[in-house]
Amino acid sequence: MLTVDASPDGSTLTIKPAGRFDGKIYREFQEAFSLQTKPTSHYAVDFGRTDYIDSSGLGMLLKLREYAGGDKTKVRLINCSPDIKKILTIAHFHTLLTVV
Amino acid sequence: MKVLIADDSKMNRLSLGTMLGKDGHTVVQAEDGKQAVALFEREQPDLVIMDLMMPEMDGCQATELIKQQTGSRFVPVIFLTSSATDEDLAQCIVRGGDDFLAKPCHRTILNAKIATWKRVCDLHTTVTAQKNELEAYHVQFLHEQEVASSIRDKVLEGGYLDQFGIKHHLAPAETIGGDLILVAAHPAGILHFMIGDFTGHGLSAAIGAMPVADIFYRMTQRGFRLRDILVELNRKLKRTLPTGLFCAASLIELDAQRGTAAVWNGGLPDVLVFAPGAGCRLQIPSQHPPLGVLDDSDLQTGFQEISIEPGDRIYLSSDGITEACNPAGVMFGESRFIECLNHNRHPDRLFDEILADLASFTLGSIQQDDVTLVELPCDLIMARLQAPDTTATPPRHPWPIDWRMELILTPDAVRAVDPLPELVQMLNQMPGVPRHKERLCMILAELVTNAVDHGLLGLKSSLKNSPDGFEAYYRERDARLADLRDGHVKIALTHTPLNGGSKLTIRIEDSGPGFDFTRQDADLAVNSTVAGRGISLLRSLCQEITFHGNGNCVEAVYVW
Repeated sequence: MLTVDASPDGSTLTIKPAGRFDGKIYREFQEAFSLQTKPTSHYAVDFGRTDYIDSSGLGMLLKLREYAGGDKTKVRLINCSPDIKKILTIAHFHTLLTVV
Repeated sequence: MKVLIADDSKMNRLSLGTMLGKDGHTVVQAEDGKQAVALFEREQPDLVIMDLMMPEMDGCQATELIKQQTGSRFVPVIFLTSSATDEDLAQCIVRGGDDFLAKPCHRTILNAKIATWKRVCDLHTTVTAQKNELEAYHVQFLHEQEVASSIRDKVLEGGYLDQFGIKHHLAPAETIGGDLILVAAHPAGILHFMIGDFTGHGLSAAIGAMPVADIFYRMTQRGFRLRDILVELNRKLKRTLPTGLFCAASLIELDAQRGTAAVWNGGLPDVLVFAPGAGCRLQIPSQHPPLGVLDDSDLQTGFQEISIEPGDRIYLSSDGITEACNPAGVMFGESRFIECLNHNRHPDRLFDEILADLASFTLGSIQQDDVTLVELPCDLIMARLQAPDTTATPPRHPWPIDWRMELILTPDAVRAVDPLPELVQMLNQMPGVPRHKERLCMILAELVTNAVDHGLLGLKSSLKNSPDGFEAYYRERDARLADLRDGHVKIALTHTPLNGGSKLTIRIEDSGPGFDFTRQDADLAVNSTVAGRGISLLRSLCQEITFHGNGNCVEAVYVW
């Protein structure tokens, strides 16, 4: 239940999960970033079609962050709904990842 | 395949048997239904070809009896029919038959039928084997969950929840939950509390909970403060948990002497403070990422300090409460939770009211996450913290030994260890001390902190007065401690036996500039505020406090 899009210039890899972003799509998400060529600029996770994120989902974002090199600017979270923003704020993930 | 042919016509049996034999099947023959049932039991064939009309017992009845014998094995029964009506055919299936074959049989059709049914049999065998394997795994899984759950419960059980009247509700979504509640009393009369929520549920969460409980209880017992425990917990989890697993947690230190609570919230819903009549008077939101995410150097250990008013109750929960859904998929949410607090008329019933509201909201929807709720009744906890420890028995004989020990802490030593737990550990060995442990620990903590913070590091208590004072103070403290090159703190303990008791003299000297202790009464007002907890507290605890030198040496006398 997610789509992966690499920008033509290879700078960005966008992962777009749909529905619930939780432990059930763990493997799919892991493959989404680890089987693709590393983007030259950053990864983007597009939450535009995501209803909900749970703690396993937060954990997956940390895995992506680690894979991308552990730098805050290397992973950007885009199109977050207020609910998702709230969960990210409670976990203080805006200090670890870039929330656009 | 081994095929059983049941037909009263010898001709039919012969022709079928020959055809099947040519295609490599083994054939067993029965002349009537009764014989077929007996042969089936003895020969265990893989497939049965059954005539409908036979003497002794007809095909339908024989099929029924055969199907009763097969158990978990699947053995197809194919009926031989010639002039059967539709109703007869339907009856064959009802009684357990699987297929029909018209008489006389053609070899091609017969082969095709048998090949098809062999495929079904093979599939059935595979599925059955997988099902059995899955069932075995499931049984083992449940067993292991139960074992893990019971070990986890034993590790987590501190026994303090009831002692301090702390109400709690822990409802895991599976056999083992990922939530935990830890409570322990620090020797200096301070309550240490922690609520944690591990990523996911089940075994991984249970495994993570064990080192957490172990560190929490052991370090508290040895006299470490919650700030140090927090650092150690984070370090341990960061080191042991794989990336992506972490523990959202709130830690609270309730200090009865000072009437304050210090809160650190990393990744859990707001900590709510309830005051009777006023409802939710304070919310302390998460200020940090969960434990196990950040490296040591990035972890912020500033606790938010609040003063506790009479009647205050503190509510802590995991996100299982705010995110619990009703059948329409709507979440309970923080606002409904806070409404419970605001509408309350009888504080003693509030805890149950929240759970009742939650239950009537979710209407029995399947619980997705662990649900944990805790109420800290501050008045009761503080009263119990200050009550003398009745569990320790008074000493029968005073300790008749004169002793003196001296400890000199260099900058490296101050950086490396907190001397307090070691001192407390040692004093604990002395008869009679356990009953005075809280007070002695508090006196020692106070004196050592003063010597290190103000004497050695030259920090000013007034730093703590600003809104983020505690955070700023500890940041500055860490920075100065890292740069400390010279100086020392000398701790000397002298024990003198008294008639039926003991006298302990604690003398602490630091290499700092000291302070004008002749003006101490003027400082008392300052020092009795939340920030400078110093001298007035010491005076209330010790029989005697005297300053020496230029104020860089203090002597405290404690008699029991």
